[in-house]
Amino acid sequence: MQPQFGLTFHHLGLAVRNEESARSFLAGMGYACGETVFDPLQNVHVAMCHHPAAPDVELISPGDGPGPLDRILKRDSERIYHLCFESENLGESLAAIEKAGLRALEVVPSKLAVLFDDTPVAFFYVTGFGIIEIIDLGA
Amino acid sequence: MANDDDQIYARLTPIFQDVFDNDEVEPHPAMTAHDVDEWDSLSHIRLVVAIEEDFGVKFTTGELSTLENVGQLVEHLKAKLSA
Repeated sequence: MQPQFGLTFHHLGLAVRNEESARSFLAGMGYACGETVFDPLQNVHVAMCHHPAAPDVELISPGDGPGPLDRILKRDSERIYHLCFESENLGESLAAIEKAGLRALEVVPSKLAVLFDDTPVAFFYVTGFGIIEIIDLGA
Repeated sequence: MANDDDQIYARLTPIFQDVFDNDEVEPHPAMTAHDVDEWDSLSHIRLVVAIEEDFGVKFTTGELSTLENVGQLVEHLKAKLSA
């Protein structure tokens, strides 16, 4: 059944200061992590970790200088801080969220994501839920 | 009007301090995100939501995108409270 908001779960976003230990732990859990790539538009290093029977985990660690993880990693050395979903139609998904009486406020405008073959992604804060990333497949 | 402003800023102060987790933050009309280290895009959204909940108002996306400083935020807030 198509979800009400037209969003399909994609991965969990785990912010870490240094990905080495996270990679080791995930490997021990049966995950296979891909190559780490640098996303210059977000100033973060990212790697996607796959598991045959568990949700994918994206490892995100900061680049040099200011970046989107600064505040998140100020309190915690590591934290799952976003859930990512795919949408075939971002506008319709956002409208459906609003129609349900929820609010999805844009935190980071749409940017091309190197980890997803330059598919646009945007981040939203859903009040009462938290941060979601949406991969805009319809762009 | 100045009295209204004083009351609003007094009510905003604990909200700012809670969102930014900084007891030294004192909102004033010319304040912008550049003046507070903890003020990033996510804390901006959390700030707006906290203000909305405390004052019982809602800002539109258009209003949020045009805000340049705390003074403008307060002007929008006053307009909504008097509507």
